[in-house]
Amino acid sequence: MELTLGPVLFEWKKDQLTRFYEEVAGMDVERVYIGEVVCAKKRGLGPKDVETIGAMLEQAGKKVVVSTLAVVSNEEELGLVRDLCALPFPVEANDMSVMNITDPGHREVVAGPHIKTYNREAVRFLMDMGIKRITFPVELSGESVRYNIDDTGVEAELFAHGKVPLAFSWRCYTSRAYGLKKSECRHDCARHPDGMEIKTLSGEPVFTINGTSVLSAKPLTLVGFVEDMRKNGVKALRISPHHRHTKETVEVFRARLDGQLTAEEALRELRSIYQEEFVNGWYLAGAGKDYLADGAISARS
Amino acid sequence: MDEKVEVVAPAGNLASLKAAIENGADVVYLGFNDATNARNFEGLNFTPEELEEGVDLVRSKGKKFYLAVNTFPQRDSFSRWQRSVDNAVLLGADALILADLGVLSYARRRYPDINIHLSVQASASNYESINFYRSRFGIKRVVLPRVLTIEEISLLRQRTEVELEAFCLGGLCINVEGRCYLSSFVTGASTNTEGACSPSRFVRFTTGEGDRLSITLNNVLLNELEATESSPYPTCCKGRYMMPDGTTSYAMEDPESLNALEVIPGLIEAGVTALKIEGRQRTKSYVAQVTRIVREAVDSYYEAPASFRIRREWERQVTSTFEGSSQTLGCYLEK
Repeated sequence: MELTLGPVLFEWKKDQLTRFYEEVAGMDVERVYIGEVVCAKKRGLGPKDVETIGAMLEQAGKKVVVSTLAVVSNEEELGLVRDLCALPFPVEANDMSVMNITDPGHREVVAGPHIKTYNREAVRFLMDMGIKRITFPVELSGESVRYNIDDTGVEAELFAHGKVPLAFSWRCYTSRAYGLKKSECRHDCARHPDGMEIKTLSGEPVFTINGTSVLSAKPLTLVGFVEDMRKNGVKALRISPHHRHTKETVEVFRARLDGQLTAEEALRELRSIYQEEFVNGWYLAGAGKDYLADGAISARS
Repeated sequence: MDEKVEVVAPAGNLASLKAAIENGADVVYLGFNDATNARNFEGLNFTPEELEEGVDLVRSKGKKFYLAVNTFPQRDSFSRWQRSVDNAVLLGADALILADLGVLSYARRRYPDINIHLSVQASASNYESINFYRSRFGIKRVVLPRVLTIEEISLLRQRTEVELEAFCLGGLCINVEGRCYLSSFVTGASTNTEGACSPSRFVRFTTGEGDRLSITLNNVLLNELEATESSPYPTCCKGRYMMPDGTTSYAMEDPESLNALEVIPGLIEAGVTALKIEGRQRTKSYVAQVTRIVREAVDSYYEAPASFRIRREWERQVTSTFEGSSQTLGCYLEK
């Protein structure tokens, strides 16, 4: 099973991103997604920077894939998608526009987590177009993913660690929190390198607002389900970058894949690194917000 | 001038269907009573038998109906969606409203000649995406996600042959439909697959001290309201949250509903083919009232486009249907 590093979902400054990807070059991941999924207004890396960093990562032996916007509503956003698609790397589609801009029959295109691939028939449709790898929507259970892999043989990737993307809007929620409209963007999201956590009125951390997107407050982790995912034929696990702990998280997952850590040990390790709780409920067909005991897998089967 | 813009009204049951047709709808849209449509609430929607009666009524008035099969099947349930497609075709639906790539593939392969509208749940908000669905599935129309300004719709119009349908009244998803997992995250019930956001079985209203009302979704507190405050149906996006600075805020969206009556001229001039009214889960009196208002607004525009004005009684009646929430133009004028 491979480890991959997802695209940075937050607004980080260019020098911070450059330093981060220099560090990524030394991380034990097979594949790195780089590009822009959330907002065309971010200032971090332009397409040229993505190309330079991508080449550096390829030199370091990584497979580099360019991620594209999840919501595309105007020429500015289409322009960014086209510029990213024009780079000399495979492309991760997060909106169907990519399928019209570039032909998956003639170049490598993968379907990202924001393409709605819910069932075998949808998998077959994408595979018939030439797409070999699909990162399934985050809400699918392990069972549902297994069903989609069986018979189709698709290369399945799962969002396996990090604050999990839950929604996208035309509205910029971070700007709203600062009393502004999206068109008045002051890049306040740059002040929140892991997004802005919001709590329920009873004080329970529930969501993270991040520009035009909403993520979970607690990070998701599937570190407990490695054996089950392997058995189900999952090909790759995606770790979503946070501004701290990304390197350590990759190390824990690598040790898990190599059989050096049990589920309990890995979870203990992650809890001591993050000093917070995680969620994983969707994998077991529960509520995404919950953490369900790893034992639930064996109890179920 | 070309044909008038089509008024597309919701029908969650026979009574609403009748109300819509009697109050000036050109088309009603509806779904079967199961997870194959995106308004799968208890007591709502049609069995194929009930629908036959509805179809007779629609046809007797020379109107049309669209059938929504616009959710995303998982695992071994795909055949149920196929059956809904089959039944919709058998009933003679004027168009099927579809979203899932698998369901679209099936419908187009099995029925090469039917009209397919791309559901808002497919989140196609640009011409590259819309033209992709056009080339692969021959979609005739797209229901536009509520992420576009009128100016963007107007530019989009020039880049695709596909007809455009835009929302003009009713509940407003602030997040892109089909790309929102908030309710699923909190409850475990997939909105995209089950067809219901904030399913009622997870919602609790509890009255506490001083008549304060607590609203929870699967035990997650979405809001606390004073006796004098009112709230629409509880969804995560319209919840009140504690911000990092300790203040409380409707972080995503105030309790508000879409009222685009004043921009109907803009939408028509941008080139939309149809105006859609949200609310298959609402009562027949709601459907009657808002359908009549949109009908009157559209007709009055065509009578004298330049002097189009919102009548005070429309405003008053529309606002009264919003159950205490305020009104918004969404992002039709600016983002």
